[in-house]
Amino acid sequence: MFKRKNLKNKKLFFILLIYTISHIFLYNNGFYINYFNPLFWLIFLIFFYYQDKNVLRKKYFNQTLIIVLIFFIFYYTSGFIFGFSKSLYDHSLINILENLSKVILPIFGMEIIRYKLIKSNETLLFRALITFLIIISEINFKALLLSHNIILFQYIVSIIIPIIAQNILFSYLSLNSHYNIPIIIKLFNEVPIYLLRFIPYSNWFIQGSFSLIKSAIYYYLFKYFVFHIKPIRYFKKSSIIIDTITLIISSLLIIFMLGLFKYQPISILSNSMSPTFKRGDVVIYEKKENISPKDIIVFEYNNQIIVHRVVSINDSFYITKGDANNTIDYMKIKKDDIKGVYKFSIKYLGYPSIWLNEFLNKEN
Amino acid sequence: MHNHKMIILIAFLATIILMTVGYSTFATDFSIKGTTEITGEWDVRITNIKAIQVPKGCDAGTPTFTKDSATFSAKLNKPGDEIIYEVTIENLGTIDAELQTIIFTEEIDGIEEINYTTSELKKDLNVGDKTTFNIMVTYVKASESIPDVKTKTLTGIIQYVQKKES
Repeated sequence: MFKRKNLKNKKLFFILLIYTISHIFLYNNGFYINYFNPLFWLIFLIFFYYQDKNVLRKKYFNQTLIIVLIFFIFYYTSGFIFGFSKSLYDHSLINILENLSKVILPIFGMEIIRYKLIKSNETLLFRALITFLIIISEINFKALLLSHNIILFQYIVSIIIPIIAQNILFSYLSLNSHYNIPIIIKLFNEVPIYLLRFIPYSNWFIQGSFSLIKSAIYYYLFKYFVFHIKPIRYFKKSSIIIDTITLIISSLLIIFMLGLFKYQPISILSNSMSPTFKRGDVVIYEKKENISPKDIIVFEYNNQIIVHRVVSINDSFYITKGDANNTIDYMKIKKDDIKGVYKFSIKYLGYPSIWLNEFLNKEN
Repeated sequence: MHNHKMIILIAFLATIILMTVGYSTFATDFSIKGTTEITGEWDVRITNIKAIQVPKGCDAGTPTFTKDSATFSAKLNKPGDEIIYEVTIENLGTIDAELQTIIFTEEIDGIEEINYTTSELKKDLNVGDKTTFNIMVTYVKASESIPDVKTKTLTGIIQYVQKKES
């Protein structure tokens, strides 16, 4: 499993294994989180430093710093699109230091272990095992188990998928360089949230999709522009083209879903507007404020998105009706609740949404 | 190596598509006003709501909850009836929390016959702690006339922040 004479790496593997197992059971234990965990990593790092004083290499340091700074500026300026919210973290010096000790020490410790172990064995299976153990050590299983149905789906999208994507990326970066790159990226990802008083708004989809895309962009930039394993002209053209197209399409899809363009899609889950469009269709609507009678509008009511036709307009509200319904809707829609006006529909494209909705609501 | 890359690429695209399908299904606020207050470290949320007192002839419905909201629909039969719902809040993160804001607002135009009262909430919610609070829905007096509005909404804002000098 390990290269000969590599007893140190064997020890590191068992440290990782024991840490991961203890983390599964003790993640929500106050003593473990507040005292044992930071202390454990502090002792580990001091011990490791005496063993290997060459810890802070500067290879790729500048390139990495430039990339993470660009990402950070992009992240923070996204607040000017989505808005800002006040941080929930306390900004007294003692709490900042406590928060940072809980974050920074494990980042250094874990990335050193990852690097040493991934470099110690050349088999893909072993590297995947190391990545898997680190992923497990970052998951809050109690929170995962207490989530169900829709909350579970949102938790997986916003927390679990980013953890998996980031760890695959960090293993790739460690393998091709040194642990300083994942450490810098992680520090920029996790430390500012404890220092800044205002952070950009996000929802579960933004949180998950941006993290996934960010990991993919890091991979792309490091592979083609930083590592220079071989000059870019020697990469297979098809490889660069596929990676580039995948990134562009994914990013555009997410931007489209978030409604940052003029048009936005929504899946239709009922037949109330049949025959104009039916259950399982996707409706594309345009964000506009001028509504006329007979327009089909997309609006929010009681935490639900509804797409119905306007039958009359009063000064302060709109009365709507589904084309297939016999009676008008009982609710009065305010202008602020209207998201936009129906433009066209695409047949059958919304069926995956229906299947997902039925699957996650099965036990409700 | 080429196969591994293809697998990762397909997994990446499949994940993106699954996420977008989920978003078009469960997004209730497409204008992105809300904020996700759950991270690996910060995770204070509602984990349950149940009716713990339902008088005979009344219906407590099936209360539901999300991470930051709880919904119920109570049907009361006669004056004096009172349904009690118990809401559980847990700190599943790694940061000790304390209650900063608690505001319950009754709908102004709602009927007078229904009254809401809420019990006190535990102030400190350390890592791993959970707390419950009750919402009492009471039919306070008989209707003198048939009201136009037959419902009354209660909106609650409960905001926990990091505990100071923890």
